Amino acid sequence: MTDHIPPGPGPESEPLDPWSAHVAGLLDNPALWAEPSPGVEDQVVAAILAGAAARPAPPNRPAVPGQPDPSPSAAPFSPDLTVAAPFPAQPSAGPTTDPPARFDPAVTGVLPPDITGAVGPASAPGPDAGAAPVVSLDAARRKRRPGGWVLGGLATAAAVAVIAVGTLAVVNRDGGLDGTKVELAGSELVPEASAEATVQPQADGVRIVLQVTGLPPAPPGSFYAAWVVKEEPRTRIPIGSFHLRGGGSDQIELWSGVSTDGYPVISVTRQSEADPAGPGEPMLRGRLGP
Amino acid sequence: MEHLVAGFIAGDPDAVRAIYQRFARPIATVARSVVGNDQTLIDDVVQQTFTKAWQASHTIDPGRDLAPWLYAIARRTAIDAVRYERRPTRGDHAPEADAPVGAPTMEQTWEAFQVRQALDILPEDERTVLLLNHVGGLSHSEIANRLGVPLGTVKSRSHRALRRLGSSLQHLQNSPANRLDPADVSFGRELP
Repeated sequence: MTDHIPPGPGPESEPLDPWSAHVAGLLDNPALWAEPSPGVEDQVVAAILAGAAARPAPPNRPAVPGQPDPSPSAAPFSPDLTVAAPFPAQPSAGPTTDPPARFDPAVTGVLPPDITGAVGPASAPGPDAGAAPVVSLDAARRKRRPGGWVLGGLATAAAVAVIAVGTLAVVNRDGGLDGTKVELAGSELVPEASAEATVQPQADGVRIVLQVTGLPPAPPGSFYAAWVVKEEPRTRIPIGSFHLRGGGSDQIELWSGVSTDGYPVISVTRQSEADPAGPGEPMLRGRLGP
Repeated sequence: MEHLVAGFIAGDPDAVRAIYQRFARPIATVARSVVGNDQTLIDDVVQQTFTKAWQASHTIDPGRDLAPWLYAIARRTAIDAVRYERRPTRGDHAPEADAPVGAPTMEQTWEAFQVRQALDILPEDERTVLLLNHVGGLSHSEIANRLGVPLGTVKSRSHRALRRLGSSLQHLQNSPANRLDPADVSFGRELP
């Protein structure tokens, strides 16, 4: 590009077209000139490297003749901004179960809830506001330890991945439980997490034993809440709470006072003790039956 | 671009840096639009957007444009950040009450994201003139003095830059379908 005005009438001597003039008006928006601080790039790289080192290998799911390849690469996710119901789950019934369905839009064709929720006007009250998972963004803590929350979160994921191996071993020794099995998939907030719920109707209610894998202990001031959910109309019934901070077997016993016939979805959210009745952050979700 | 995306998914540091350098500023623009002039929070949103994107990167189709996907993560992350910052430590009112008031719409932030992308690919000398003019509040004469170049040079750079921006953002004017249309999406509240 030349730095000099060309002699005579040239493009620069012509008035701006209305659209370019409109664009010029946009440039007064200070957000258009926002810059991340210089250290953020290194923090992002460090966090992702730590996460990549801790990332477990994808499960080797044996191919089933006549069945489509269930791996994520079989159906790449389209990043188009469409919205569908979050937390698709892979139902299963009977004593044998497949590996838990990851919250994987490549398989389900939908976006993770954290992404799907983004496509709504921020000014629209209610839906977007209520559905938004609250991400751990403790600014005060981060100001003291810049970048620490990301590294800490990924390190926790790595640690939990190790714990998960032991958990599965316990389950195998126990030989499993009778009852209908439901696989719960981890949300985008905890993509490595999963759970298997064993649903056992009893005389006084429904006993639901949740075997959790890869779900980190609830941070202090929060807890996990389990629900059975009816979709029409949307209603959820609490079936128990837990925190996983005790280092136990990650096997949680829950009770539902309503039949899972009418409430076919089992979900786990992370709740704040300051707002225990709030929508919470979605963690795990699975569905009984088709 | 596909090899960069593949590298990003694999956690290759060079690819991560390349993706970061390409999208960090537009993401910062989204963050600034939503959270306001809080640099710490903007940095948090940028950082978390990339880490969340990487955590979900197995869902990326390397052949598709990353921009809308990253934008969506960024906007949601920014909204969550604002809500978290404003959330009371005690009290019993609904979280909806903590939602940002008057936050820019999805169309506005998506437009800002795209304008920022267009700004970032301008030649540096043209971009500098626009920066000094629109952010620094300097007149063309003052910019000429600041940069030590003739006034006509400043005017021509400004003019070229605006025409270039107008051209590269033409789709925003002529193809409303390319904008995110709220009518095309639903955002009904989902119970977790």
